[in-house]
Amino acid sequence: MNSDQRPPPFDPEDFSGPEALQSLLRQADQADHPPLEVPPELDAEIVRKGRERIAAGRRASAAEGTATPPPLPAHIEHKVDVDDEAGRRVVRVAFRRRVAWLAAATAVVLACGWWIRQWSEAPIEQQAGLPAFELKPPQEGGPEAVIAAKLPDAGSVTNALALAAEARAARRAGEAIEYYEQALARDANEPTALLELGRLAFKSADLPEAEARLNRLLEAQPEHRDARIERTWVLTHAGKYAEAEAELDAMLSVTPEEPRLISTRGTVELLQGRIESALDWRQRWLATEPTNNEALTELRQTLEWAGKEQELPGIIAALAASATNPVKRAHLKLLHGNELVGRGDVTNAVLVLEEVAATNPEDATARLVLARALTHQGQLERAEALLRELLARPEAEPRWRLELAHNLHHQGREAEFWQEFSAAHLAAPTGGAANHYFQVTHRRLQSTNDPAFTPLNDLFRAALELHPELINDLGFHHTAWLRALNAGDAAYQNLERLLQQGDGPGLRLQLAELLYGIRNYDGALRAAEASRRLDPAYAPAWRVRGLSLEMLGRRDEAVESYKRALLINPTYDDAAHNLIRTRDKQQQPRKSVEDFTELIERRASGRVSYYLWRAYASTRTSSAVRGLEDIEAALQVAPGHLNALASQADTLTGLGRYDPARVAANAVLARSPQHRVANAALGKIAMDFGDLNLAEQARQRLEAGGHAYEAHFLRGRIQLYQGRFPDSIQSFTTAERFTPDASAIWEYRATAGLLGGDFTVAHRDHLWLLERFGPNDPRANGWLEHQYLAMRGRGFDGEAAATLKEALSKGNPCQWPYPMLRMFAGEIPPEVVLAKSQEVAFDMLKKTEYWPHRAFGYEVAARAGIGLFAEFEGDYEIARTHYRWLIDHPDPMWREYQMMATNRLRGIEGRASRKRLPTADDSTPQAGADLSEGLLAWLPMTTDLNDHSPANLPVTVHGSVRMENGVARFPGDGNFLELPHVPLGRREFSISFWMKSDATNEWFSLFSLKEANRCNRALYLQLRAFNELYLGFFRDDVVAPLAVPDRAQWNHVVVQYSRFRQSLWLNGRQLVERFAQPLQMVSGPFRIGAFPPDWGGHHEFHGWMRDFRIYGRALHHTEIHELAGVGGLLAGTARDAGGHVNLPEEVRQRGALSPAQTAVLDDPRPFLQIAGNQLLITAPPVQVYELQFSPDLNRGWSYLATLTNTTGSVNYVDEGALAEGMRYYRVQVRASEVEGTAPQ
Amino acid sequence: MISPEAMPSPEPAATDQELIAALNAGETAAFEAMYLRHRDWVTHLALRFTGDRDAAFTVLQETFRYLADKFPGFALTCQFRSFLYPVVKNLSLMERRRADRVIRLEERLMNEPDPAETPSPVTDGDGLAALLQVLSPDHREVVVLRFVEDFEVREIAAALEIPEGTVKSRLHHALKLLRASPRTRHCFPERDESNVQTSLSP
Repeated sequence: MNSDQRPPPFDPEDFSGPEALQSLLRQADQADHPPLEVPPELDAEIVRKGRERIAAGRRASAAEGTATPPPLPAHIEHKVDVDDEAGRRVVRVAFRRRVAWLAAATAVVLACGWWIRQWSEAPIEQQAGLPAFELKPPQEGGPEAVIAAKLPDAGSVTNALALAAEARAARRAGEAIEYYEQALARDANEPTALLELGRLAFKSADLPEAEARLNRLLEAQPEHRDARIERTWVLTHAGKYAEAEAELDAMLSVTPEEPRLISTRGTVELLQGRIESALDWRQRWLATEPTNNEALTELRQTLEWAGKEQELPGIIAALAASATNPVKRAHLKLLHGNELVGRGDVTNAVLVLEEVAATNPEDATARLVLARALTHQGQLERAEALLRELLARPEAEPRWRLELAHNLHHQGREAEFWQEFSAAHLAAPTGGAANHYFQVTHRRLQSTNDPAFTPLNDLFRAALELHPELINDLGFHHTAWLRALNAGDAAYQNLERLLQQGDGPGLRLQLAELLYGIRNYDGALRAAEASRRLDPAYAPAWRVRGLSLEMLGRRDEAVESYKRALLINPTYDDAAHNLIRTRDKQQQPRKSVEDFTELIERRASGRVSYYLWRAYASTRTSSAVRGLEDIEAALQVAPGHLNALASQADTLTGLGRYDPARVAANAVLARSPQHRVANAALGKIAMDFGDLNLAEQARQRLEAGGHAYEAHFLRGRIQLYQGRFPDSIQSFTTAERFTPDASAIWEYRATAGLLGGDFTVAHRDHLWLLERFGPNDPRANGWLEHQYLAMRGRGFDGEAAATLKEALSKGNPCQWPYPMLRMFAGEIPPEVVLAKSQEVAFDMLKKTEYWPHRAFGYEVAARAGIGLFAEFEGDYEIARTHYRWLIDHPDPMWREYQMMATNRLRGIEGRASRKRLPTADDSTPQAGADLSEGLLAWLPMTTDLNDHSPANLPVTVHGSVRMENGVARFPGDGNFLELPHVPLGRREFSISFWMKSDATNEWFSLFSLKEANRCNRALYLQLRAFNELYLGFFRDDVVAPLAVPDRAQWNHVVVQYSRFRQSLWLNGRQLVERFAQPLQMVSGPFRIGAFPPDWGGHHEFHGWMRDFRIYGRALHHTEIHELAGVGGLLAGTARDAGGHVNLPEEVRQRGALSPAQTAVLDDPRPFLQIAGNQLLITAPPVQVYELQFSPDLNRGWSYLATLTNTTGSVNYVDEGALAEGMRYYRVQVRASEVEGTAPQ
Repeated sequence: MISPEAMPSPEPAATDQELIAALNAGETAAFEAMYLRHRDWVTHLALRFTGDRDAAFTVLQETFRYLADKFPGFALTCQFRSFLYPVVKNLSLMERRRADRVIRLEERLMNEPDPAETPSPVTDGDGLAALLQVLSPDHREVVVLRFVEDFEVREIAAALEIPEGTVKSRLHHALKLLRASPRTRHCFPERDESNVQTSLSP
C-alpha cells in the first residue's frame, strides 16, 4: 500500500469542524424543527406526576428497606457494622422496645394473684439467695481472636492430655484435637492421644483417619482392648463387615458379656440385613446392660426396621422374666412399665411398676417411674406424695424435682410448679431441665398468653452464674428458646454477652443462624466456621456453613459442607434437602445422585438413609425406576423401615403402580397413622383415581400431623380436580410457603393456571421450572408446550413463537409431547397428533403395570392442548369439537380437563364465528319477543341483589352494597358487586341500568369487564367529572358528547354493541355511535360499580342503581325506550329523528318523564357518529358547529373544523386522525336557528 | 425602588448532580428545576426523532416519567444529557413504531388497502436530512450530536455507549464525506494540498 491509499492520519483539529458547517447544520435543524412551545398545563402535569412518582418510589424503597443492605428482620430497628479498637467486627443492633410484651406481662401479673406477681417481679437470683447478676468484662481480643489464635503449648504430654480432657468436657473437641496432637508431637505412640484422636475422627465421620490412628496404636500395643473395640466399630461403619465380625467374635470368645462388643456385633448383623440375628444381639445387649438408654434405643430402632416396634414391651417383659440378676430384672421391669406409660397403657404400667416398687422399697428409680405413671393415670395426689417422699431422701437428685414440677402443673398449682422447676433447673441445668423450657413456655403461652419471658430469662442467667462451665449448652438452649419466642433481638444481645464470657460450638452455631437469618452471610460463615472448628463432629455447623457458602455463591464448597454434615449424621434430612436444592441451582440435578453414591461408599452404616435420599434424587430427575431400586435396597436391609415403605409407596404411585403402592402406604399408616410421606402418597393415589373421600381423609391426617406443606398441596390438588382453579392456585401458593423445594407446586399450579385460564400464573411457573431445570430436562417438552400455550393465552404471540422455535430445536423428538410442538408450528395437523397420542397410550398399555387410565390421559391432554391452540388461532369450530369431546368422554382421573373444556366452551360460545357476526351494513337490530329474551344477567335490585335471569349467576357482594328503599345502595370506596365472566367478547350485547349518584363531581366506574390476562382489553363505563360518560371499549373508547344533565336524578343508561358499532344511550336517547371491533374477551369477572380487579385505585360507584340488565343481543330502540320509561313516546331512533325529539307537550305536563329525561330529550344539540376518521353530525338545521378533537383527554380539546348543517346532517373526514391513531371528538354549536340551542 | 444592581445576586444554579442528590434525598421540588432545565432540549430532540409535535410531547412526558422512576437510588455516571439522549431516542423510536402500528391497524379495520411504503426521507432542499444524506445513519448521528447538539466526544461516546475512539473515527470519516459533498463543501476551508503533502513526506 502506498502512502496515497492510506487513510489520512488522525487530526484532532478536524473534530471541532469548521464553524461554517456547524452554523449551516444548526440553521437547517432549526428550519426543520422549529422550537416547540410546551403547553403550560403539560408542564404542570409532568412536574406533578414526576414529583408524585419520586415520592412514591421513596415510600416503596423505605417500605422494602433497600436503602441499607442487607434487609433486617422486622423487629430490628437498625443495624450498623463497625470495627472496634480490637479489630473485631462488632455488630451493634438497636432494638425496638416490645411494648406488647410488657403489656402482656403486666396483664398476666394482674391476673395471677398477688404472690405470683411478687414472684415474677423479684429477680430469680434474689429468690434463690444468689448474688445479683453482673456482666463479666469482655475477654481481651474477643472470642474469635481466641479461636483463631494457635493454642498455647501445653508443655508436657501430661499437661496436654489434661487440657485436652478439659476441652472435651467443655464440648470443644477441636481444641482437644490440638492438645492431643501436641501430645503426639512429644510422644508419637502416646496411647491415650492416639485412641482419643481415633474416636474423635470417627465422630466427625473421618473413618480412614480413625482407622489409621487406631491401627497405629494397635501396632504399638496389639492387645490394647479399647483400641480393638473402637477399631471394630470403625470397620463396621466403613462397611468392612467380615473383618469386623472376625475380630468381634475373637474378642467375644474371651469376654462374652462385654456390652460394647455385643452392641457392635448387633450393628454388624443389622447393617448386613440380617435383621433377626440383629434383634437377638440387641436383646442380649439390653439384658446385659439394662441401665444403658442406648441399648433400649437401638433395640427400638432395630424393631422399627423389622416392622415389629409393637413388640417392644413384650420383649422387655420377656427379658425381665428370664433375667437371673435381680437388679437387672427389676430395671427391666421398670423399662417395661415406662414403655407402657409411653404407649398410653397406664393401667398395666401401674400394675407392673407397683410390683417392682413393692419388691424393692428402697429403689428410688422404681418409685419415680411409678409416680410418673400415676401422674399420667390421674392419681396426682398419690404421685405427689410419692415424689415428696423421694425428695426427702438424702440421695435425692435434682432431676426428680422436675417430676414433681410436672405433677404440680397437672394439679394446676402453678406457683409451686415454678418453684420446683426453678430449683431443679438451678441445681442441674443440663439434667433435662433446659429441654423442658420449651414445653414450659409453650404451656404458659397456652394457659395465660404470657410468654413467661422475664422469669425464664432470669432463670437461665442465674443457672449460668452457678454453672459457668456449662456456658455452651446453657447458652445454646437460652438462645434457641429466645428465638423460638421470636425474640431475635434479645437472642442477639444475649449471645453477644455470652460470647464475651466464653465460647462453644453451640453458641457459635446460634450466632451463625441468627446472622444467616438477617442475611449477613459473611458473618454467618465465619460463625459456622468457628463452630465446626470448635467441634468438627458438629453436623449442624457444617450445614449452616454450607448454607452461608451457598448464599455467597460458593456452591461447590457448600455441597461439600452438606456432604460432611450427612456423613456425620446420615439421617440429617435438612442437609440432604439443601444438598439436592443446591445441585438444582447449579442446573445439575443429576449430580445429587452421584453425591449420595459417594456418601454410600464413604459411610456404609448410613446407607439406608443414603439409599432413600438417592432414590428421592433419582425420582426427581425422572429415573423413578432407579429410585425404586434404591428403596428396595434399603428395604433389604430394613424390611420394616417406615420411611422406606412410605417412599416405596410414593415412588410406585409416581410410576402408576397403584396396587402395590396402596399396600405399602397402608402398611405404614397402620403403624403410623399421621406419617407424612405415606399420607401424601395415599393422597396422590386417591387423586389419580378421583377418590375425593380418600384424598380428604389423607389431607386431614396430614393436617393433624402438622405437615402443612403436604396438607395444602393435597388441598390444591383436590380443588384442581374439582375444577376450582383459582382456589387451587391459592392453596398451592400457601403450600409454597412451607417448603424449600417448590418445583412440584410450580408444576401443578401451572396446570391449574393453564386449565383455569390464568395464563399469567401458568407462564410464570413454567418460566421458573425451565429456569431451574433447564430445557434438557426430560420433562421440558411438556413444560415448553404449556409455556407456549400460556404465552399465546396472554397474547405474547412473538415470545410464544420464539419459545416454540427453541422448543423444536432443543426438545427430544422421540418424546411426547413433541408432536404437539410440531402441530403448533404448523408442521403436522391435529389428527396426526391425536394418532401419536394414542400410539403412546398403546405403548403404555402394553406395560401391564401401568394403569390404563393414565395412558388415556395422553389423548385427554392432547385434545385440551389442541383445543386451546385452535381457540387462540380463532378456529373456534375445531376448539369446540375437542372441548366437546372432552366433555362427552368424562373420566374420573381427568376431571379437571373436563371442567376446563366446559369453562372454555362457555367462554367461546359468545364468540360466534366471523361468518355468524353480522356485517356493518346490516340493518338496525330487531326487537325481541319481549324484554326477557336474551338476558344474560338481570339484577332487578328491588328486593335483593341476586341475578334473576335464567342463568342465575352468583353475585358476590364486595363491601356493604345493600338494598335501601327498594333500590341498591352503593356506598363508594371498596363496595361493589361482582358477577362471574359474562361472555360479551364477540357478540352483540346491550347493558341497561338506572343510576343516580349523590357524589358531586367525583368520577367513578359504573361497570367493567376485563380480560384477565390482557393489560388493556376491557369494557367499562365511567362517569367522569362534569357528568361526562366515558365508554372504554378496548381500542375504541368513546366519550359522550352530551353530559348527564343531573347525576342526582335517576338516569337510564344503555351501552350497546351491534354490527361493529358501539353506542351509548342516555334516558332513551342515543348520544353517540362509533365503529368498533369486537372486544374478543373470554375471561374476567363482570363488576358493577367498580373498575377491573387489577387496575388499582378506588373509584367505586357512589350512589344508587336499579334494574341492571345484560342482554346477549342488541336491543331495538323501542325496547330501549321502554326500559328508559319513555316507551311509546319516541318514534324511531335518535338518528332517525335528527337527534332531536320533540315530546308532546301533554306528555311533559303529565309528568311522565323525570326532569333528567326531559332535559336529554329536549336537548337539540347535535348527534355525532364516528367511523374511523369519518364523522357524521346529525341535528335539526340550521346550525354552525365547531368540531374539536383531542388525542388524549388529558390534553384538552383542539380546533378541527367549522361546519354548517343546512340539511339535517353534515359529513367530515379527519385526515389527521390516521397519523395519530386515535382521537376523541366533540361538537360545539356556534350558531343555531333551532330553538333552545344556545351557542357555546 | 431598588435598582437591579442593588438586588442581591441570585444563588448560583444547582448542578445536575446537586439536583439529583436532592431528588435522591426526597426533595421532589428539585424535579421541577431539572425538568425546566432540560425540557426544551428533550422536546427538540424528540421532535427530530419523531417528526411529530404530539409524539414529541408524549416522548417528553415518558422521558421524565422514566427519570422520576429512577429515584431514589439514581447515580449519574456521565453528563446528564448523555444519560437522557438514549432514553429520548428509544422512546421516540417506540412512539414512532406505535404510531405506525396504529395507523396500519386503523386502515386494516377500515378495510382499506395497505399503505404504500413509508415515504423515503427528504432528499431535496436545505433541511438537515438533505445536508447529511451522504452519511450513513451512524455517521449522521455523531455529526448531529457533535455540531448541532454541541456534545463533547466523550459525551457522545457515553450517549451512544460506544468507545471514544469509535466516535472519533466516525467523525473523521463523516467530515471527510461532508468535505466532498457539494452541499456542504463550501463550509470547509480550501486545503493547502502542497503543505499536506510536504508534511507527510519523509
